[in-house]
Amino acid sequence: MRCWLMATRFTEKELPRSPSRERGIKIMSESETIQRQRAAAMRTVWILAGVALLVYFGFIASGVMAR
Amino acid sequence: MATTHADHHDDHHDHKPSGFFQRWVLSTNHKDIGTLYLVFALIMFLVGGAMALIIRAELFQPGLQLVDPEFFNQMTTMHALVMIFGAVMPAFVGLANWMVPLMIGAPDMALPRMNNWSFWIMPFAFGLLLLTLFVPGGGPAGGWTLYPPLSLQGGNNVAMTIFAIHMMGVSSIMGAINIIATILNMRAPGMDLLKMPIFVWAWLITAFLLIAVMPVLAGAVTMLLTDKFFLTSFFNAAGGGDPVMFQHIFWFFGHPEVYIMILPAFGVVSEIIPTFARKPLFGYQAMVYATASIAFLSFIVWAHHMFTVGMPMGGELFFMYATMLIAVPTGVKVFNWVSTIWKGSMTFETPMLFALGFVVLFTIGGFSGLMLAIVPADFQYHDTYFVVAHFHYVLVTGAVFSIMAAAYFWLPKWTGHMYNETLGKWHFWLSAISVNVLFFPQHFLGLAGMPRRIPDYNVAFADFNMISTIGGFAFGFSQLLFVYIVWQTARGGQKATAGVWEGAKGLEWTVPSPAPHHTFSTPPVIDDAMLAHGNTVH
Repeated sequence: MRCWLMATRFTEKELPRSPSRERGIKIMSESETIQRQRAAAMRTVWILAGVALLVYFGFIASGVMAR
Repeated sequence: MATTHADHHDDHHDHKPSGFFQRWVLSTNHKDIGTLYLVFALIMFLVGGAMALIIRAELFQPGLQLVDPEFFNQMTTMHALVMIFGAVMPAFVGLANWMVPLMIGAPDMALPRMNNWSFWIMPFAFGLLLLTLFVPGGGPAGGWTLYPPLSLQGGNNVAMTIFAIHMMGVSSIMGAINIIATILNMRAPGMDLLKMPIFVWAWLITAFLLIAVMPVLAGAVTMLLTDKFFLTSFFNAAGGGDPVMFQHIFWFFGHPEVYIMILPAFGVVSEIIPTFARKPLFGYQAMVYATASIAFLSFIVWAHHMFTVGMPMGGELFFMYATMLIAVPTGVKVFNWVSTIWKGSMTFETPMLFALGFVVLFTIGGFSGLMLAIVPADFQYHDTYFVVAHFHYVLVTGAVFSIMAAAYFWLPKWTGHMYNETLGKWHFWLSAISVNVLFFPQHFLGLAGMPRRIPDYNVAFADFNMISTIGGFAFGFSQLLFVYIVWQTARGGQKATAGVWEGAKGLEWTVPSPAPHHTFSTPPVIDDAMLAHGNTVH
């Protein structure tokens, strides 16, 4: 199984150069890598925080409706 | 053991913040925050343990000896809240903070500032909870389950307790989100999901459980709060509400909570046993799927905690069989641990002793859980000391033993020093013997009909209670030895190597001991040989 977004951890230093260039893959700079990783982490956070809030208010709403 | 090129980089950039306030209060470093969690959990373990000793001292003989019944009830309630939310959960979060980034080759947690916030909410939450003992009317006394209407009959403590629980919930949810974001986004290249250490897998699944159920607890206690102060009658029968609904909602949170406290323990033991058996873990993928299965099943068994409230026969049968089903993935785990040991080249250092103690004694707790799952039997066992014996075997010889095992296992990596092995073994044997003297007789008390949460009892129960109390004090004082060993190791001792243990495998063992303040600033280049599960075929 491949890690999703794993490619974001590759930096210019580590990727094998010639095969990537041949395949036309854009190699990201260190700062681009960090930016993308941070954006992916923030997406995960907002989704999970949304789930937690949904469960919290959902349970209270179901309690209200049961009344 | 192979080392990564990141080591040398880290050695030269080990810049800790100077000053106590900067380093510990404003910390965003996963290792420092992990240490804060672990120290906090140890303090809460001692506070909760002191409460347990008050309970056991009162129960040493029949009759009211030392404390009045109201205070006794406060002690049983606070002991549970402190141990569950203040000791066991933060200890596992501390272990996750320390070890997950090291195990997956990440430089830190995904959200370091939120990590700081997650921790620093906790002391305020527990400060508030413990303060309830000093307000008029005392602390909460209705049991950690907070069943209404009893829990709402408290005085000033109700609002404080509920606010404290909300804060603990917020802390846990933020911690869980951080762990998931870290594991999903921050793994080093080559650290595929099915190459991750089992501890990381266990924590990933646990974090999802936390996000799913902590808001349920928060919702339940919010409704309790509005019932108490805004007369909403969610659970007030006089106002048309249903107190049994609280029990359903509470246990929908409460049963997965049990697995929140035990899945990381499974992860710890799955790291330690292969190390000291010097064999790869037997059935790596089966372990991952078993953990996920246990997590799924934990959502559909909640009503086994409340068979006696009266429910349709179909419901009772469903919850009975669903509960028994959990024995299957749990059995897979026990089988795999035993198979890992089988023909292994074993040595019995303290972490291994605690891990093996876990396997044997947790299984006893699992078996008594199966007994409790049987509906007609549960009508006899419900609210007796049999239940107390069961969950203490799961949580003390299960969760707490695994935390002890983890502490001894990773202490050299954290401090850079080896602990005193002789004292460690003394700690294990004293704990293992005394914990059985403490809890095993409670099975007999429960089967003979002694109810839980009572300060006085029939003289027929006197002998076993006396034995249990002696075991309780022996176990309690044995833990002071653990505190001394940790203190001694933190201060100095024989230098630990990077690998520490002969059979240790995984990224965390490739960095020097003590682990530098910053690790894996550059992602490590991983080859399968350095991973514990790198050569798993999948």
